[in-house]
Amino acid sequence: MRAVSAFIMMLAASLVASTAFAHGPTRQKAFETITIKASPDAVWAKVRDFAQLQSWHPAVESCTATNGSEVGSVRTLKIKGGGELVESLEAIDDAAKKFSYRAKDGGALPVTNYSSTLTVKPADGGTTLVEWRGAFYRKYMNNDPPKGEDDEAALGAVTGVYKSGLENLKAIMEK
Amino acid sequence: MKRRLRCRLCAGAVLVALSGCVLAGPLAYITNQGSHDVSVLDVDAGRVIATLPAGRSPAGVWVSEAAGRAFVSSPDSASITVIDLATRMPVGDIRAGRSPVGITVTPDGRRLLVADWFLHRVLVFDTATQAQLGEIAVGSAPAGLVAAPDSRTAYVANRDDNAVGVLDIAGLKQTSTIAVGNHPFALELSADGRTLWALNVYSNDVSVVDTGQARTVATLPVGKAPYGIAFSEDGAHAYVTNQQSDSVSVIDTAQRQVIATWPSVVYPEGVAVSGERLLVVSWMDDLVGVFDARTGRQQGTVALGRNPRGFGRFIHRSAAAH
Repeated sequence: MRAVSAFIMMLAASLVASTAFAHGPTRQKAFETITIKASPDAVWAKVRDFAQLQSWHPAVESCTATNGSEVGSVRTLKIKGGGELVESLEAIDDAAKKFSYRAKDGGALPVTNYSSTLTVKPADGGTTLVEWRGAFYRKYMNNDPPKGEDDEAALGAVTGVYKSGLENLKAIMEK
Repeated sequence: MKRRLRCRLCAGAVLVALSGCVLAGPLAYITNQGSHDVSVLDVDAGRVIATLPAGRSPAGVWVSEAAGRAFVSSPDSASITVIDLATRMPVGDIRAGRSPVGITVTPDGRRLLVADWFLHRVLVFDTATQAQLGEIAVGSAPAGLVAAPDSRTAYVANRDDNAVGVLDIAGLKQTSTIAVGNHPFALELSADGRTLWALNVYSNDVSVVDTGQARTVATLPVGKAPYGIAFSEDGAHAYVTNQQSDSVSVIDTAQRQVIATWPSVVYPEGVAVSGERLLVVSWMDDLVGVFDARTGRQQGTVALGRNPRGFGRFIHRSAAAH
């Protein structure tokens, strides 16, 4: 019975998605940085592998990718405690030490139309600045979103992903 | 009492200074969707001279010198803020549908058109009385709007239909549609009204529409997610911001060819040309980049409010006259 009603809800949701709107009108952004006492080359070597997010992000259980760190590769992230994220690599630039990826649907995150860029930059005294930026819309696709699917929820979730990831990356690299 | 008088005198002096000789050049009105306000930028001085309140999440903007007003759309409060160009002060607030985003004013300054995103219609207002005259049923997720030189016809990007709708403003009708690329958002029209440019966010290209033939006659690949377009003052070049490539594509409008791609700000959106300056709004970094419109060389940046968009024509060219 429960499965049936869940299925009906899913169906209803997909109907809304196909007949209505790709996203709400107000795009949100998250932008987090951290300074790491390690060389930019070392930090880039750690983060550039699109298929190895679990090696530095504490929320990721496992990661599989269709084509490693080549543009177009699609990775599936299993999140600790349940949930999945499917993201595609849009661009990677070893010279500039940055890559961009996007997720059409938020999966485990309460967002839609999510794109993100991670950049590794040299900072003072041989240290490294890592910037993680994301642009996304809330999960709810019309006006008057319920709690948990509103702008605040979307912003809080993505900010949380970036903060916890960067802090753990720093801890690993400075070990 | 005395103190209050002195304050009033001060305020008067500031107003005179702002509206008189201090301002030498054009002004830009840039919507800040995250801080719910509008930055007024003195383009030549390269500084923000005022920050005006708007509705919730302002996105679209259209400066109409013919109407003597700038209009700003705020989707989350379903309202249009009216700004007087002479005093640079908000003078009105219009209720506008459910979720107004795209916005334009006819060249004669008499009609304001607003795309009501969620309800698939374009609302028509009288700019003088601010009264709504009617609505036009259009395609799915209407976004960018622009009116023809005769002020009788307008075009709307029906984003989720991959088409442009041709609107009869007085008749309140969408009379035809023209197929363009995938997910058109922003539109611009050549000064003579003959060529319409539609920016296709998903197919990463620009559809060039011959308005006389009512069909797409060329498709120009640009960077990822083209989001904003502006012409040089002589119309010879079009500048297209590529939101996901952090770049600007420069198009020779006569040859219909991309002749250069310049690195730009992060997440570029709104764009405008003022003389030989190219202004590019960075949604991500909360600033506007100032570039040489001939060479693409960056001349500086000016900080704005949060999540700036500048979706529409946002330059008031003859601000010096006031």
